[in-house]
Amino acid sequence: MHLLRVQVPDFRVLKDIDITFEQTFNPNVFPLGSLNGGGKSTLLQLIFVLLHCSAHSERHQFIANMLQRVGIPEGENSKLLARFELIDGAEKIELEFTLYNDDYLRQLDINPIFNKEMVSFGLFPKKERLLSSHEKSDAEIEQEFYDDHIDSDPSLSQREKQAMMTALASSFHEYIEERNKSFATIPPLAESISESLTLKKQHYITSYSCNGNAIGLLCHSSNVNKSTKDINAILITLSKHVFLSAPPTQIYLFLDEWSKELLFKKRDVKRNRWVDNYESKLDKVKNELPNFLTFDVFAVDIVVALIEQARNQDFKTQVDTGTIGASYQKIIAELNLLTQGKKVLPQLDENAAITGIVFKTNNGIEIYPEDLSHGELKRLSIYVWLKTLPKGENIVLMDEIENALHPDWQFQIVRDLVEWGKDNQYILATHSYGLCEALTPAHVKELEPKLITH
Amino acid sequence: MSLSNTELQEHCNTIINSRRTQNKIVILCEGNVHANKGKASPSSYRQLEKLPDANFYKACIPVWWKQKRPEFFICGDRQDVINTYFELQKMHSQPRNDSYLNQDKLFAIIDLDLPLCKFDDSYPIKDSEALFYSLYQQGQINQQAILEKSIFITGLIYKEAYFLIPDLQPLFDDYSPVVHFNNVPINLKAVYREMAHKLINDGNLMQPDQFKRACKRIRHCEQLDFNNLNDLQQSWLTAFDTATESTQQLLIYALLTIHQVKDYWKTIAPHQENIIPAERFKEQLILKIADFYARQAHNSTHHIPGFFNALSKWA
Repeated sequence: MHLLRVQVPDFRVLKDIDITFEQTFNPNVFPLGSLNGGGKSTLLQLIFVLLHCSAHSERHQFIANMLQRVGIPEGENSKLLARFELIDGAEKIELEFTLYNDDYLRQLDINPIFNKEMVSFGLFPKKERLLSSHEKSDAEIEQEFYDDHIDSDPSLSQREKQAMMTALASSFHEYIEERNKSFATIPPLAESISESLTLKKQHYITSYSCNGNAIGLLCHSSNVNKSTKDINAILITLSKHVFLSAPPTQIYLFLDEWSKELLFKKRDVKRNRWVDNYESKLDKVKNELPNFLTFDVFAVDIVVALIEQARNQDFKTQVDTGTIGASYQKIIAELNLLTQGKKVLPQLDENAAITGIVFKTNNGIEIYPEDLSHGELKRLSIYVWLKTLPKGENIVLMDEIENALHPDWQFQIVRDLVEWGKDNQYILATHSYGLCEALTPAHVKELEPKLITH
Repeated sequence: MSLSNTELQEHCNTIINSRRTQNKIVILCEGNVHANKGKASPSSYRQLEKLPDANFYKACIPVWWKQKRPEFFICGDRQDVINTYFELQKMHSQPRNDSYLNQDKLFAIIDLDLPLCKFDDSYPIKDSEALFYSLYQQGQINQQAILEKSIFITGLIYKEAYFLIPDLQPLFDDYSPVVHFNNVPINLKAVYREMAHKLINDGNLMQPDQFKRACKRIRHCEQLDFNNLNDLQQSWLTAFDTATESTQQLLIYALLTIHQVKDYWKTIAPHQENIIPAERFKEQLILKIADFYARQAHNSTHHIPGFFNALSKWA
């Protein structure tokens, strides 16, 4: 998969963006420049979130976070969010991600047995909630209802809780009645809307609320022969092949509002609330977005995983052939080649489980972590991360890759990327002139500052 | 067009005031000195009309040279490079406290070309031709001699000749989009034959003094007849068709040492012009060629890696 072109008419700071990443360019590395606040990071995050998250419902919250407060202009019923041109093998694919409001849905050919006023993008999340609750027992539903309505204050006595439950009993019955009614109407109506969207070759992705209005994100392909099923298949493939790496200090628009606000909150050390900070939220997100990496001090977990993988491969080779494989030796040799004059070795516990990494000089003397340069560790981290990417063409988005690298290394990192993942396409948001010099001027893309209208 | 005295002074001041030069090897090279005057940023780089000449050399720096890599400064034409070099040396002949430049680490790289380029009287070598003979013997680079010089001259006529050496044929064969010369996939031996056929139309070689200079450079090729340009052409073609592989190499390098090669490089194009403009295609190909030189072994006999191998002793 190769990203040929991205167009973003209007999203946050991004205005009239239209950038082409030529497939015929060699190497496939494109620096992306702009002033600070020019939208480089926003663009990379938007590409990543739309292409990595759309196919997986459990990642849709990140799309909704990203689109928070993005509404549809007054008097319109849609707004084009982004248009992508991609190439998969020999096939050119065009995808349009567009936001729609309920007015658009109400113009669709919906079964007349349904009340048009009920037609809304808000039905889709309701339907999901209903369907997931359908599998629950009556006792579980009752418990959930009371848990939602009764204060969880631990100081409440059992008697007080019982009194509150009695008071809420009639409400619970009303809730059950409402729920049963919803079962009869919402899933069939949502189904009818889906069918109409399918006929228009509009693939529903997710919906969210903006200023009390329900908004839906739909994906359409300009390729005439692409059905919604095809679009979904493309999005599934894309989700596996689009990657984002960026500094942990970046503000990530796809985090929920509270997490972003934590960046500006004073840490409450006295109450030991270190857990509730931006970094910990980011760590949690990384578990939920497998193709997202932050440039931390050192990607030790990835290095360990890579060595474990090599060790397991060697064991498998021994089982299959009777001779131990050479994967471990190979990966250690590759890592040592990167850390000139230093050897990388796994640290083992008494059961030979890998617990970490140790660096030694060629004479076997252990090197303390503080004696390793940040740039050296970063380069090593990028190397091992790229090694873990799936084979084939990946779209790798990297934000501020030059941080911690000396200008000499900024120039060389382009060659490194090509060497470490030659089939990948790299889009590098950067301020580095030195990095650009490793490529031709035509490789460099820019989010140009907009002229002022007088 | 050369820099005026004022421009030269300004240019030299820019170099000595540049922090890029601090503790670094500085190499002056040819190229459009006016191309990039703005603040160095991705935006200013993007606005360049073409790949700066220095970037070819920069990309040729061996891959094993990781730290304290040389810094390049574009100075204009060949004479500008030389003028800048000697002006900077002159500016540092007296102690000064406004320069980041270490004059012991100041180098220049120029094209051989056919017209003569004279050096300052203070330099132990009088001109470009003398420098060529001190650095190369029968087409082979002398690394020890490079260590003793601070001006490096190409062993082939122009930098562009290094884009067409025989060892690059596999690179061209594997490159995508397909590299075309005269609308067919490039075959370097066919290019050399065409060069030989057009030798008699080479304006520089038609001039007696330059023809004489050219012949002197390649006199080690016993198969060639240096009587006149026609005889040289005929003898080259006859010798090339019957020569062994090693003699063919000698003849090719001889041709690339004296003949105008820039026109042939201009003819290089992608197999389909509509997929990428020819100029963009060639710039990218140049960087790929530079990568070829950057990956040569320490004991490489190629001229450019030989230059950087020697230079690395100063890092």
